[in-house]
Amino acid sequence: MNFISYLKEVYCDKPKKPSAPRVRFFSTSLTENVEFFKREFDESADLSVRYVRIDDIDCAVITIGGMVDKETLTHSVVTPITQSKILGNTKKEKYEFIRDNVISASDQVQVSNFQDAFNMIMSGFAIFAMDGCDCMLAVGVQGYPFRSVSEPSTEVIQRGSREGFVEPLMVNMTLIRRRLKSTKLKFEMSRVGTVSKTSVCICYMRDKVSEDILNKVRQCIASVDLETVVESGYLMPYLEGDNDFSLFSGVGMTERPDTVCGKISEGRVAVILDGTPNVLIVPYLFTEYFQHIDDYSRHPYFATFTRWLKYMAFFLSILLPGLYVAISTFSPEILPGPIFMKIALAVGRTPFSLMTETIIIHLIYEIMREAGLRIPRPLGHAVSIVGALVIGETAVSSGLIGAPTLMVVALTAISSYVIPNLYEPISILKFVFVIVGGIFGIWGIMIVFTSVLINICSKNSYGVPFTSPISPFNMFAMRDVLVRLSWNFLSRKSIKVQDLPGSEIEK
Amino acid sequence: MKIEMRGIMLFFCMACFLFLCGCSGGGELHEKFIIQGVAVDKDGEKYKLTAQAYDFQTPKDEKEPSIRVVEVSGATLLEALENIKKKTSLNPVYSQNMIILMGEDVAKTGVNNFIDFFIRHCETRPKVKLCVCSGAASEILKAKDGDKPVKAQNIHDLIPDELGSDVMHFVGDVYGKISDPCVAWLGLTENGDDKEITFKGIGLFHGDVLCDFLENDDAFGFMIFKSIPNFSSSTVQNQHFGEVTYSAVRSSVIVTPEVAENSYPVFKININVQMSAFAFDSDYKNEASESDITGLESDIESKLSGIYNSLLKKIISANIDALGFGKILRNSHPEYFKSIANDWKNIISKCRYDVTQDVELIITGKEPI
Amino acid sequence: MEKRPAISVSQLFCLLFISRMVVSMTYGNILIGDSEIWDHLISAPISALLTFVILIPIYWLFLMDKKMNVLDNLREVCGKLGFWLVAIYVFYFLIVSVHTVSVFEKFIFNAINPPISVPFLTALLLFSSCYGAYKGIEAISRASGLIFVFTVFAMIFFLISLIPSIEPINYKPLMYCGTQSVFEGIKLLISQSSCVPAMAILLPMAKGNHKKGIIIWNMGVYFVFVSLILLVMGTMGDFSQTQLFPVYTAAGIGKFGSFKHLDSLYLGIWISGIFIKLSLFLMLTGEGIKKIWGEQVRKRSILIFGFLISVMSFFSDKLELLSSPFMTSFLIWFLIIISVIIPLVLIIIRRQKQKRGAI
Repeated sequence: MNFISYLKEVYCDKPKKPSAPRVRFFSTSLTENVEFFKREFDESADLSVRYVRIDDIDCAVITIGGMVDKETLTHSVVTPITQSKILGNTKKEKYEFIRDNVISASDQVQVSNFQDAFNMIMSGFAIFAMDGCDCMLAVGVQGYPFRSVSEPSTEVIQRGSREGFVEPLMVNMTLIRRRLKSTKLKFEMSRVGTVSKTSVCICYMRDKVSEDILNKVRQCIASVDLETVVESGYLMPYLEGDNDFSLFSGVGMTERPDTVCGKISEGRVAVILDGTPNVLIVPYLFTEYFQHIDDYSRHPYFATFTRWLKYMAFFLSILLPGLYVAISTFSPEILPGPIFMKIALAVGRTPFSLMTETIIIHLIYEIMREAGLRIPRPLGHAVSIVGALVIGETAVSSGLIGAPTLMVVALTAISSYVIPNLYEPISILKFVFVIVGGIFGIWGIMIVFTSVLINICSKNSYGVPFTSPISPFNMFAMRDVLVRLSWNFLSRKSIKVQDLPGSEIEK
Repeated sequence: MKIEMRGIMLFFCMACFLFLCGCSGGGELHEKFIIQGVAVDKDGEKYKLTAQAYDFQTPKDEKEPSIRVVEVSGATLLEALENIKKKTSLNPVYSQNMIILMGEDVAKTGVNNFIDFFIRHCETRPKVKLCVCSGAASEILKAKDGDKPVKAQNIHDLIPDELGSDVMHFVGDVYGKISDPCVAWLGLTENGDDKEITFKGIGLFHGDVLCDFLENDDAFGFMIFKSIPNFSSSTVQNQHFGEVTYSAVRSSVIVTPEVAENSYPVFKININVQMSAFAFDSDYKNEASESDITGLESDIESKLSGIYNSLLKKIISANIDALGFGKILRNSHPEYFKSIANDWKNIISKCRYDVTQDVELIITGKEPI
Repeated sequence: MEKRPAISVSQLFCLLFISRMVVSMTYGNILIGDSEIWDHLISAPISALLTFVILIPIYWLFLMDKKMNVLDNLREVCGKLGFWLVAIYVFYFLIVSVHTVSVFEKFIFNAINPPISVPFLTALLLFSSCYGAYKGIEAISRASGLIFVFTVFAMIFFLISLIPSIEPINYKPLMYCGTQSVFEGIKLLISQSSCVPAMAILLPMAKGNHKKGIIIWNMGVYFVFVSLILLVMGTMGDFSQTQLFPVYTAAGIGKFGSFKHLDSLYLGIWISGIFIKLSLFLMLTGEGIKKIWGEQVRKRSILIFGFLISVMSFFSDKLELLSSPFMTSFLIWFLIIISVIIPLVLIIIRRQKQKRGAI
């Protein structure tokens, strides 16, 4: 096979979806069934089978160690079935008696095939099996340990709830339900990952969401062909929908239940994945990156001010280093005299060209940032000290790096943290603009900037223009974009996401 | 669609990499000779060019770059400018240039030969100040304030923006062929051991050739005509106040041309000027009545009349339209002006100029009258 | 019929406004030659009226079937001849693109003369514009909406910065040197109205009140043009005649508080404008190609046209494409054929077919 067709196969042809596993039903023999369990788990250490005899009938309680609460299991399953008088003549009648009258756990599901039984057992259910029955009872006795609800470290706020999502799906659903006590709030469960079989839940308000968006989300989740899904980020490319390349994502992410509630109240859909505190929100528009839950608890004028700050910080962080290089190299006349002199004086004393210098410092900064994220906490101080000394002090005093360049990079770095959700596109774009600025000057920067603008504008998130309501423009929808008007005004009429200008969604 | 998109992206990336090889002409700031001011003189048949720029190779402990003055010459201005690169091995950059100083000799032989460069070069700016110097212009750029050369910025700040002493106005007037350009006249004045740069007056041009200078009262009158306040002052002798110094705070000039058949145009000039009087004689007793002030006003008026008449006589007798009468006539009587346009410069001296004025005296300061 | 991308009328006219503004911003000696720019102040309102007249057939054709553009009409009404007529439109849009690139090259080379290679910069512009054209009308119009806001703010900024520098004496009498310049101005302004044929294709893509849009757009375009002339002539007077791109020079003169050297602001808007205009016209050529050869060829054709334009713009300089009077006359006649004659013929044929009940 030649190289091109190999590439085509890898990148263009969709991999064949593995065919659905054949469903195997239980046999009436308990031994056979238990043997199958053991064989499938290959005698895994955490698979536990407890045999019980009830009126001379062999029964078994199958669990995964660590996934169940042993106390609950004892009180609600093992003790009742061993100590109660079981009525019924046949094995089937006895099984039904146990199911209906003996087991006291509220959460019970009857399963008839191994596939369902595996799913249940691995979700923390205990399986009660009886010889002579071709079905089993899954009893909810989950009791695995999980992190308690706490404030998300990535989305800290000044006012408002300190609760953030945690890893178990059910807890996250509770956190949302507690805030939206409405019968219109609906959770829809499904599973993704052919191996991991991770539970995923889509959450929406029935009266707000567009059926069109909902169907698309369902399709996107159904199209996930991954073996394992351990983090919500795995689902993002599938939820993006179209395959158009863009640095900006049309899928939002949050760890805050109040943010999710706000978003689904506007007709959006939240996708909650079991095992991760990051909840995905679709459709997600460009302007939402600049909205923060804190804005809504502050005074409108101050919220408006911070909005503007965020927009400014965004443009500053992507354009400043590029413009600095471009203007200093190609168009120094634009700079005011005193600034121009300072830059020229600093550059004159350093060995690198301005573009190289800027790229080097940016790279050093990115390395330090990455190290700061991964490094064990006790070593964190060491990194800061080395960073401050290496970049801040030594590089400038040794004459390797100019002080104005350092300042530009520092300002860019701080600005990029104002909108943490946009850090990824910002960090790439600033490099692009530095290189373009160093080669093509401000003319190149303008051309590439307009290309980026086209890229952003061409993006649709579930049929809603990514740049809506700025372009296509809607005056009323702008009340929460460049300004944040008072709640008296915001509450007059809510705009659903499908009602935004340019939306192609059927209402 | 995917392949198509990838095709575009691939092609784009490849093109970018190709450009990387081809484009590296930017150059660093410190590799450039960033000119702040230029002086042009004649050295025999050659042009002598003196350029002031910042030297960015300044030692590390210095907070500000030192100033470097380079002298080059060439048969043409372009050749001289190219010689800067040869002499300094730095690329000259004109975008930060603030002032062009012309030597008297070069201005008298015609400026067109070299000013063209400053119009056409894309880096130069139209609002670069232009001025003429008595003697050699290079002396001004080389003048020192203590041990350091005077910065081009400081020389630039001497010339008021309102005078229109810049490349744009100069070239516009020369190109328009109706009015004549006038520029600031700078010179060096002895002050003890030091030489100071001073704004001496106005250099008058006929076309692109320097004709004459206006100084003292003539320059003072010219500034009133151009509505440039607080430029300089004049003195008048008054019966009550003694010798009084006064300067124009605000002036407005209305010129109304009148054209009659078979006669040359008449320009009715009404000058409304507010004067500020100060520096009264030391024996003045702080007592002045309304009539005393009116008397002072009429003294100033008669002094100003003399200044205007002398100024107009000087300008007009040389057939110079430095005050823009031609444009005013063109705008008010286009058909008439079209008929005389080619001969306008000869007609200037034949026109009549009736000056009326209204002087208002403002006396400020701590001493009440 | 295939699903058409839908944009709003306001987006469409923002896009067309920017495309037209780009021409006004580089208006100057390189385009007008010896003509008196000041007299174009009279040419502007006359041209505005003429633009309305030229737009009548296109608008009429659009009213007959609001879902079909002129290319659809040609395909439906003219049969095989329609292919050739569509090719004429494609050729016109190609010429306009080449013209735009030539202005860009000329401007960069003469007014800025950067220390980088102009052909490479042009190539970067063309590749980026191809990307814009590939993304389609929705992306271009949304981007133009944002650029429009910046343009309006920049215009206000220019106005504020230049008004103090205006010298009334620079305003000489209109038609001082005769009426020749006025006629030349009209010819030039009409020949530059490439947005009019573009409307023939774009009107059905837009939703909203088209009539209002056309009126506001046309008035706005010429109002800004008149304002630019007044500002440029008022600040620079006769000096403007020595400058190839007087609006650019004027932008450099402006001063607003401590802000000066606003030419960089001008450059930013102008380059974005050029980008939008090129993307639009490349997209329109692609639309024509789609009518002839289908959707797949359209995408490939955009890249090919991008390359072709960069080659043609190289020769256009040699042919003095920008300043030759032949080019102005050629563009006017071309414009009249594709904006007036062809739509009128289509209207007549459609009417007759409607009477026969064929449509």
